[in-house]
Amino acid sequence: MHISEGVLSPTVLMAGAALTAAGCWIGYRKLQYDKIVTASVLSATFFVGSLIHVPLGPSSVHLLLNGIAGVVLGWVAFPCILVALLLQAVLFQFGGLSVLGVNTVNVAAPAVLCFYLLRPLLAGGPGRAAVAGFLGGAGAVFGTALMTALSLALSDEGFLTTARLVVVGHLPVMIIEGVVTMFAVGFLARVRPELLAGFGRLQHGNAGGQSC
Amino acid sequence: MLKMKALAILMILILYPGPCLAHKVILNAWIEDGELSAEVGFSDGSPASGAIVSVIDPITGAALFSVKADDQGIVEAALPPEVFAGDGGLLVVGNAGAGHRVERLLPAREVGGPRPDQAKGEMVGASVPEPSSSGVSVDTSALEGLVRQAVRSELAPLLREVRSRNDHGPRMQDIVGGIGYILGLAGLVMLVKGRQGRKKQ
Repeated sequence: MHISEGVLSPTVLMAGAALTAAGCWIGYRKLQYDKIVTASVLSATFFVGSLIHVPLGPSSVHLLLNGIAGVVLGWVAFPCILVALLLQAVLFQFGGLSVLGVNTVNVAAPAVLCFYLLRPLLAGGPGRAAVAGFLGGAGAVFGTALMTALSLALSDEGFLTTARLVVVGHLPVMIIEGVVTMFAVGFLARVRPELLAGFGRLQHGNAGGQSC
Repeated sequence: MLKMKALAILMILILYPGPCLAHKVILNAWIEDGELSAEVGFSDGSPASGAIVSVIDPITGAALFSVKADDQGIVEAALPPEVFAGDGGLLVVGNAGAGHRVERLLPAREVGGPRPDQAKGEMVGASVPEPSSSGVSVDTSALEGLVRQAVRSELAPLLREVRSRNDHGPRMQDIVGGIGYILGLAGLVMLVKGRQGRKKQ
C-alpha cells in the first residue's frame, strides 16, 4: 500500500496532500486531551504493523491495521497515520515524502468511513462490537486497496487491472486484519467500552471536539 | 489474565523481527560493454517477476530503451547504440506495477560505450597488461575481451552482495526510534492541548 516516489502525476500528489491536510486538521481539532495516549499507541501499532508479513505465494504482504485505528479514533486516525507513514518513509524508505499525502489519505479515509458506518454496531454490546471490528478491519483494507488502485489509475495505470491485482493481493490481509481487529475490538468492548462507543458519542456531541 | 494476553500480543507485535518488506523495491543495474544487466526484487528477497526495466536519459527524460524482466526479475539485454549518445549517464528505472517503482542513476563513467567500442571496463581495478609481442601473434583485443568477460562473471556475485548490503530492511533501532518519536510527539501534543484547556478555564 505504499506507493513509491515517481509513480503518480503531480495533480494526484497535490490532491492527496490537500485531502490529507484537511483530514489531519479535523483530526487534530477532534483529538481530546485524555485520548492522546490512546492515539499515540495506535499510531505506534500502525507504524510497526507494516513490518508484520504474511507470506503469500512467492511474495508477501504486510498488515495494515488501519481498521482498528479508524474504529477507535475516527477522524483522529488521520494525524496518527500521517505520523506513522512519515516515520516509515524516513526510517524504512517505505513509500516516500512526495507521496506521503496520497498514501495517508488512501489509508486513513477508508478508516474514517468505517468508523462512521460501524458506529451504531459498535455501541451495541461486545458481540456486535466484535462483528463491527471484523467488518472494520477487512473493510478498511479493501477501501485502501481501491483507493490505491484509483490513485494509480488517475496517473496512468489502468484502474480495473490494478484494482484486481491490489485487491486480490490483499484478500488474505483483509481476512487476517478482520480477525485481528475483531479480537481487539471485542476485547475493548468488554474491558473498556468507553473507548469505543463513548468516544463516538463524545465526538458526535461536540463537532469542534474541544472538551478539554 | 486478559490484560496479560493483550500485553503479550502487543509485545509480539512490537518485537516482531520483520525479516522482509514487501513494500520496498530494490534495483541492481549495471552496464558493461553495451549490455544492461539488471535485477529487480523486493527487499523480502522475492523477485519482481515481469517488472518493466527502462533506460532513461536523465537530462531530457526521454525513454531510450525498455525491456521486461524474466520470472526471476532479471534482465540481460544488449542496448542499442543510440542509448549511449548522451554523456550525462543513464537512469535505469524498474517498475514492478501496483505503484512499486525504483530508480538508479548510473554515472557516465559506469555506462561506458556501445558494444563495438572497446571501452575499458571500470570494474576491473588493475589494468590488463599488454602481452609482449614475442613473435607469437596474439589477437590482443580478443584476449582482452575474454579476460574482461571472465573477470565480470567472477565479480558479478560479489557486486550483487555489495549492492544488496546497502538495501537492508529496517533495523531494531529504527523501529524503536520510530516508536519513541511517536511517544515524544504525543507528549508535545499533550502540552499544547493542556495549555489550550487551561486558557479556556
